[in-house]
Order: sequence, then structure tokens, then C-alpha cells
Amino acid sequence: MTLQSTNMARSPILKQLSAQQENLFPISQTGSFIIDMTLYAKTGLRGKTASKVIEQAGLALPAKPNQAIDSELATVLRLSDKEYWLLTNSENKDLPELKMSDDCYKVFCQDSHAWLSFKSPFKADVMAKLCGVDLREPAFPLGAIAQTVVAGSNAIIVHHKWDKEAVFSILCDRSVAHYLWMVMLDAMDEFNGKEDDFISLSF
Amino acid sequence: MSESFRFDAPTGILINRDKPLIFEFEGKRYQGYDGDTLASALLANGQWIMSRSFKYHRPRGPLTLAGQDANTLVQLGGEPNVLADRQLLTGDETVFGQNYVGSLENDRNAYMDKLGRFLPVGFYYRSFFRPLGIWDTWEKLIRKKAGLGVVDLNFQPEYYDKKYLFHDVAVIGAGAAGLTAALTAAHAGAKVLLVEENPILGGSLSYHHFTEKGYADYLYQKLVDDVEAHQNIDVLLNATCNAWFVDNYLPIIQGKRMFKARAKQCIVTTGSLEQHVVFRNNDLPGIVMSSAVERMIKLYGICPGKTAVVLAGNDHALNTALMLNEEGVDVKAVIDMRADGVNKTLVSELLKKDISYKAGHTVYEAFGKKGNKHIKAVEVRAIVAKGEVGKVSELIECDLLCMSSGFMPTYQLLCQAGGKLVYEDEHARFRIENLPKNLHIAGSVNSIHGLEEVVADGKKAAVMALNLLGFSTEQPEMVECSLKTNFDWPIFKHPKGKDFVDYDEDLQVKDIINATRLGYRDVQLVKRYSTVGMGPSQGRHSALPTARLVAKATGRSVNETGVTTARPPFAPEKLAHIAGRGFSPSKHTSMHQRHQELGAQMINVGGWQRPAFYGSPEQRKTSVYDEAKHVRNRVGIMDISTLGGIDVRGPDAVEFLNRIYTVNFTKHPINQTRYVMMVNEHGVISDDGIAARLAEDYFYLSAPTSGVDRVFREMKKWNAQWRLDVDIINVTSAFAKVNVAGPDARKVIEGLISDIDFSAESFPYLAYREGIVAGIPARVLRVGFVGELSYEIHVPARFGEVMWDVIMVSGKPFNLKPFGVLSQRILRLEKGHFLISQDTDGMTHPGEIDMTWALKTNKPFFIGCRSVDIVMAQQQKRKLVAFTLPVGANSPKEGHLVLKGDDISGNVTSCEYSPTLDLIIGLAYAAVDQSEVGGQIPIRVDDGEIVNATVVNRPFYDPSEQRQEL
Repeated sequence: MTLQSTNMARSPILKQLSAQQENLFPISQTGSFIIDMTLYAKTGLRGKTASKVIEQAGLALPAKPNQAIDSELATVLRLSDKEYWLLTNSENKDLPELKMSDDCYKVFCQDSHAWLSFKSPFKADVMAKLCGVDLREPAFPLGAIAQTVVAGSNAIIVHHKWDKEAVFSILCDRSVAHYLWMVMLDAMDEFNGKEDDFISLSF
Repeated sequence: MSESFRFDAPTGILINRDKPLIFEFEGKRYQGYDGDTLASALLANGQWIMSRSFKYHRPRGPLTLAGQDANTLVQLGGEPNVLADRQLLTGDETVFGQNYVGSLENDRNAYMDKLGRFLPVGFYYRSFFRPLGIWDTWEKLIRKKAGLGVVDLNFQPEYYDKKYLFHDVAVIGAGAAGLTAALTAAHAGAKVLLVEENPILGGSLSYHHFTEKGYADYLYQKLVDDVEAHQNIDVLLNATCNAWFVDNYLPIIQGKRMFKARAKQCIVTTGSLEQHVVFRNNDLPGIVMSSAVERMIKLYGICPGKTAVVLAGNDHALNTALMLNEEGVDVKAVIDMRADGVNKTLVSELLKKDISYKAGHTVYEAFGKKGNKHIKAVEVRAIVAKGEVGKVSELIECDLLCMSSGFMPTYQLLCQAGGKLVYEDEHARFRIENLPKNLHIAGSVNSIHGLEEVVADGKKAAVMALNLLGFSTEQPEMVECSLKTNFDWPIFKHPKGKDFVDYDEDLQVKDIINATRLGYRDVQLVKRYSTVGMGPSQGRHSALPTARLVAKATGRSVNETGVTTARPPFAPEKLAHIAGRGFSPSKHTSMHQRHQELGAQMINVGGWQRPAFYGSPEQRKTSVYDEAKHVRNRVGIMDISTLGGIDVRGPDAVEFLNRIYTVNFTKHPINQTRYVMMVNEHGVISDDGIAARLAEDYFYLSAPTSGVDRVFREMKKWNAQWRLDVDIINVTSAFAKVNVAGPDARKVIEGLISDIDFSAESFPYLAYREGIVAGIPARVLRVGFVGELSYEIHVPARFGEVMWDVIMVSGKPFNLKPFGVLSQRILRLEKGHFLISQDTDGMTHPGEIDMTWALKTNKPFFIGCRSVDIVMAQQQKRKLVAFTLPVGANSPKEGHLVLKGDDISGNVTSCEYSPTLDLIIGLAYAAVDQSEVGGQIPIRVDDGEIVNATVVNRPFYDPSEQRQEL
């Protein structure tokens, strides 16, 4: 069991929701959801040799910044020329071991950032209420990353596949995760009661 | 309540006769239909008066029935200034007219109409300034008279929000040109946003009686059907594009939402605004634009009158006359201002229907029923010269006058985009030039009025947009239109006045002319002096006649004069639309829930929710003092996760920090912390914090809660210039941090299972250690902000709550209690620590706060080093001093002034009651010669009282520093 998923770790989200708030979003019949994945494994690398470390771990490198690649081992996000984050692609699955080298070190994204996964036929519409970046296909295709502002907070939005489904992974500062969670539920409210409902899951 | 002014279907395409709705206006119940506006429902009941005019309190009814004039502003419940001809009827509304005393029908202020000659433009500028000070008296009276409607101060905010839209092409206006442009673009594969302010598509196709009626009907159906079926077109109805900003950034208001649309290409097909004719009493209820009558009939099925006169300046009005005739209204006469250039076929049709037609004539004056509540007749005279009429007159009785002097492009968005409105005086025609590359126009806004030409123009605009998008290489076909729609001088000044140029502000012809005579030759100055075009309709109808009058009065052409500038917003918008939902990120620490469970009262500190104190609000003081005393006497725990954290690492880390901070890092030992200070380029203290050296090339820095973003930004900015091999990361949120402080702090910490030796010998004051604490990796610092034995424990944020829990368990035998920000502020003040931004300001240099010891000159450079030398070489005028007052004295507050004789020598920056010392203690700036220990500084407190505080040494508490170094 990895450290990030031990029973000592806590997510900043959901447990603070009231029962009434949780009931607003019953289990979806059609598969729209927002999930708190903050405690799922994620790590970051930064430095001149970060790309080599990633490649040595058998992971494919996104060609340029603000791109992501899903693979069986992990989802690799390229956030700049010298910064990569890895997201696990399965519950309870560890990330591949990274052999660190000089001029490369880990960043604290496991703790600094919360991770929300959002899937919905309306996901671009919902996000358009919160974010000034066009997140519709084809402007924001699979593999695209937007480092932007969502509802007044910095966030990284990744369009990739989770469990074979296209989702937006939203990585935000941990301290605003609860705020952003509530804001997203509020934004989704407009679409609730149509063909899809939303479920909210956490640990 | 019954409706007696409705035609049968098929007129009234917007209303659902199967769904009647009841509402109240002026205390009387009326019936309308679903689809009605408030105004159309009132008209259907014969209620024409909807408001009173701004200055003269004249009765006013709808002029355009399109939300383009101020005549229909009403009070809807608690909301003033609602456009009755835009507001859809929902049933059960309570509506009142505006700007009257008594009742709308019998306004006691109607006498103002008789006082016009005493109330010329600018009368209050020139009348109420003498004798000196008299304005204060007049102002109350004038303000009481001014303003429309009543604001409900008890209103409850409603939910408004915003949403972004992204399209290849935005088309503003869904008339024939807009529909064609949208379809052309969509067919080529572009994603199109079509914005229409009305509830249906079609623009004038939906109501106007076109000469080419068969073609118009076919076109209407075809275009609307095709647009509605097209996958590439998103339609927004009842939506107003309220501005144009650079790169086609378009705020669009629909209901309670403001869309913020971004379009690669924008096509403006907003059509044109029908213009009125200026003659005496042209504002009487029952005098309307021709297009307004067409809307009444076609859209709402309203019978606008029994006997009508049509005053024409173009063929459109002739078609209106035919439409009225078809619906059974007795059209007494068509008065055509044009002597020639008339469509003979249309005239022939009028004559066939026994409608009297007079060319080269105008309505010179309208007459109203008692109280001017509705038109009853018009006086018609021949036009003998530009703006002049003959002496022979004819009186025609009527209850409806339709007028159309021409059309002015709805140019507001284009003007905002930098477009220039050019007026061709010879043809009385407009042209818009100088548009940005990605903005196109089509239809009547482009002065193309013939239906076939409008369609061709819409296509042309779309092709131009598609070419720029790369969707097409087709050559756009130029479109010409010879149809003349504007009569060149529809202004007939009357010696008795009330010939209104601007309905909003009750401005008459003489008001504009007089402004030019007073020297206001520029149309923009005329606007500001007379307020023409400054009312709710923003010059939609007054801009052109004003330009004409100014041009004539100053001997220039209209083109030379120009028209007044149109600025955003296009239509009135609510602050709620601008504010939207509002996003105020609220930051929580990992222990937030624990604080709530412990009864913390939270406050916002730098965007974070932090415990101010623990306990009920009623026991705030007691709780805060108890918390402070408990830290002094036993042990307390505080969540300091909000404290900024910055990791700096790399081969050049030492060099980088030497440049950023005033201290020298070269010999800074590993596993040691130290105080650090920053000054800015002006030599002013900008921030401070603690630096811990983790390795040769790795430092962990703390910064104030509200200052860390600024410090991080400064570091990044400077290194963008310096290009040092160093990496800077803001790790504030990555760590949860607690401070365990008090005489028993070590006992509490030693109760945790850890590989760190916490003994005084192994872990002395200012040391830094890393290890495992309670199974969690931790950074531990021995620092003493509160002046007691103290440990800061920083752990990965996900473990923060568990760390809090285990420390609370470990501290139970020692009565460990949490303490909040308020008690911490007392504790730090007792210790004499200053807070950046609270005890320093934008002028504070190190010498003023006795921090010269932190300036290390044994290094070549730090930011601001030269400036510090300069400012400190100057004679020092003030100094931060510590002061005390006995308990019971009137306690100073932050900001209270320190005096020196009659002068101000400084101000209080911090002041608290110290429960440890049982004294009032504080910090204040005072003159240098007031800073002598033992001296007195006079402080002016509330109510002007002067208290004399005693200057003392810092710190107030534990000056020998023994407690924090235990």
C-alpha cells in the first residue's frame, strides 16, 4: 500500500459536505460523475533531466508542454519544458518507480494539489461557467492540458482517459479544493435533472 | 379587465391566446396573454400612458415597442426602470408608472409642462450657484424631483451567473441579413453563434409589410427553418449583445446570465433604428414609429387605433399605411414629406384604397386630448423650404399617427469597435468605415435596405468572414442598394416649442440650438451641456436630429459635425449581470474541520479561513486572553499552515538568496534557521520570514500568510533577469504546519514517536531537523514567534489532520489547548515582533524599526542595497517605538495619531491589552526625539482625547530571551 493511500491521509473534500448537499447528487444512471481523486497516486518531476527519468521508467513523453499521454503505466502530464507530473490510471495502483538523477527532483504535487475527475456529456458546458478557456472538442482534444484559472483559482485541466472514458482531470491547489468542489456542484446544478445526474465520490 | 383592442389571429404571432395572464397596472387588473410584453398587454387594453416624462411630466406611451426608448420605463414590483416593451408578461405582476406625484393619469407635477420657458437647458448650472452656498439648499429640492422609480432597499439578491461561449463566427442580429450570414457560415463548416434580442428569429421579416410580400414571407419561413435545423448554429433568443471589445469579445445578456462570447469573426447585422419626425407635440401617446405599429399588429395582434395618419419620409411608411388599411384601420391620410422620389406603385395602391396622399407636406403640430393623454388630431402643412412650412394648414382628426423619417444604423457596437459613422449629406445616407479586420457588417446597419440586397449583403459578409477563417476562397460579391430611406430634414421647429428632439430628457429644438449659441459647437459638448443622448435610450433617436441641428447652426455638414459617441453598454444592464455569480476562493487548511469541531470562530486572513479564537463570540475577549495566558503558562497548539513556504534549490541557491534577502547565506549552516528580511528597490522593507537550510543547495523559506504570493512572484521575476541555476517552488499548500508553544511544548512533542531527538542539547533554538514524527515525514523548526519554547512541525498536507490529532492526544496530560490568530497577535506583540504591512508601511526603512542588524554589507549586492544606503543617510524623522499605558486608559487603536505639539509625528500600528503584563502595550511611529525610553508620546484616541503613553524598550516580555531558548 502506498503512503498516499494509507488511512492516515485525508482529502480536503466531501467529508465537510452536509448530508443534504450530498443528497443533491444521487448516483447517476447514465454515468456522469465528479470524483475526488486527491489521494490517488500522483507525483511530479522537475529539472533538466526530468524527461530522461520519465523515459527510463518506460513512459512515453508528450511532445511539448501542455500535453498529456495516457499509458498502461500512468498518465504523463508535461507542464513545461522541464516539469512532468504522473497520475496513476487505476485505483490502488502505484506509479512506476522513478530513478532520480542529478538536476532532477520531485515536486510535492501529491500534497499541494487536489485532483477532481469530471466526466459528463456537458463537461465543457459546465466548465464554461467557471473557466475562460474553450474546453470543447476540437479546441481541447484528448491529450490537451490547460493551465488556467477556474472560478478564480489556479488549476490544471487535463483532457484524458480514465478507465477508457474521456474525463477532465482538474488539479487545483489543495487549500481551495473544497471551495472548487462546491463551485463545480453549483455549476452542474443547471444540468442536473436532465438526462444525467451526477455522483460525487470520495474516500 | 377585458381586452378590446386585439385583432384576431393570424395577427399576434408571439401571443398564445389560449393562455391568458392577469396582472395589475396602477392598481387596476388587466388581462394579457402568454407572449405579451407588459406594454403590449397594456395596449391591448387601451392603456397607452405608461410613464411621465423626465422634466415636464408629460404623459408618454410606447414609441418603438422595441425597447429602444425610455417612454415605457415602469416600476415592476421592487424593480424600477423596467422596459415595459421588453419585459415579458408572466402573470400576477404589480406594475406602476414612474415619475409622477398623485397618479399616472393625474400627475400633480404636470404643471412643469407650463414652466418650460423658465427651465431652459442648463438652468440649474446657471441659476443656483449664487449666493455662495445656496446650492446646498437647492440640491435637496432638485434631487427630490430627479430620478425615476423607487428602489427596494430590502431586496434579496438573486442568482445571476456568467458563461463563456466560443465560436468561429458570431452573428449579432437575426434579421434577413443575419440569418443569411449565419447559414452561409454554417454551411461552410463554421461554428456559428446567432444572437437575437427578440423572442423570435426574423427581425423585420417577422412584422414588416414588405413591398415584395410574397418573397418576404417565403424568405422568412425558409431562413428560420434552415437556421433552426442547422447543427452548426447556436441560437440565443431574448439576448442582447451589449458591447464589443477587442478581438470580438462580446458580453451577451440573456435573462439572468451574461455570456462572455469569443468569436474569431463577428458579423454585425443589428439593423437600423427608425427615426422620428420633429414637430410640436410629437411625443403624445398615440404617436409612434411606423415599425412600432407593425409590431403591434403582427407580433401582438393589437389594434393600435381607429383613425390613423401616416407621416412618411420613405416607402416603409407607405407600406405601414397599407398594412393598417388591410387590418381595417381607417387611414385618413398619408402625409409624405418627400416631394419626389416616391414609389409610384405604392402611391397608386394607396389611392386605390381611397387613402388620401399628400406629397411635400408634414405634420406641423399634433393636438392632444385633455391633459395631452392621447393624440386627437394633427395639423398638416406644406413644406416650403428646409424645415419650413407654409401658412395654410389642414386639421385631420385621428387617434394614431405613425411616423418614419428614416433609419439610422444600429451602429453602437461598431462605434465601440472603432468604426466611424460617415453621413453622406447629399443622399442622407450613412456609411460605416474603419472597422477591424475580423468584424463585418451587413443589412440595413450597412445602409442596405432592399430585401434582396440585404440577403446578398448577409452572404457577402459571411464569405468575407469565411475567407479569413480559411473555410472558403470564394470572392465576395459587392452589393449596392439605391433604395433611399432617409428624408434629409425631418425637423420642423415650432415657435411654441415642445418639438422634441430627445424624448428621454425632454429636449426641444431650441435647447439644442441655444447650446450652440452659447458656444458649444462640438456635438460632444452639446451633449454634455444639454444632456442630449444621455438618457436611457442613449441617443438612439436624438443623435441624428441633434447632429443635423448642430450642423445647421454652425454652418457645417452633418458629416463634419459627426454624431455623439456610443459607449458600452448598448442597453442598460444590471450590476448583478456584471457581478455574476461571484467567485471568492476560500482557502482551508488540512485541519479546518478540526477547528470547526473545536468551536473556532473563523476569520479571513490572506484568503485563508483561520481560527480567530476558540469559543463563543460572546466570550471573545475572555477566550483570547485565556488562550494567550495558557501559552505563557502551559502549552498551546496553533495551525500555521497558512504560513507561506517556498523551496529554493539548485547550485546557485546561496547566490540567489544573497541577492533576494539582506542577510548573508554564505556561511549559513545546514539544519539551521535564521530570520530573513527583504527590502525593495526603494530601500523599503517589503517582507520577512525564516530561512532553513536543508542542504548545501536547498533552502526552505517561510513568508507571511498574505505575503507569500508576492514574495514568490518577486523571486520568479528577479530570476527571470538573473538566470541563476536555481529552482523556486511555492510549497505553501504542500505542507500542513502546526506550532506547539509554551513551557510544556517539549513534553508534548517528546510524547510522539519520532526519530528526532527533541532535547534542548540536540535540538536547540533556531535549529532545523527532518525525521519521522508519529509515522509521518516531517520538517521541524525551533523558532519562537510567540516568545516561548516552540516547535513548528511541517508535514505533507494529506497528513495534517492526523498530525493534529496525535499531538492533541500527546498533549492531553499537559492540558494542551488550541490558540488562534488573535491570541497569537498578543503574544507576538508582547515579544515585540513587528508584522510586515501592519507595523511597516510603504516608507519604512530598516533604520526606522531598529533592523539595521539584518543588513549585511559583507556581500556585494542585495535588492535595494543602494537605496537603503541613500534613505538611511538622510536625516531620520520617525521611529517605531514601543509604548505602554495603564489598564483603564482609553486604549489607542491602530491608526490613531501620535502628536508632537500641533503636528502629527506618527501613528499607532499595533495595540493590545497584554494579559501577561496587565498593561496596554503597543507599537507606534513617533518623531525620533520622542523615542527616548521613559519619555511620553501623546496619542489622540477616539473622541479626540489625548492619552500620554510611556515609551519603553522592546520586547515587553522576556527581554533576556530565556523562555524561547529553553
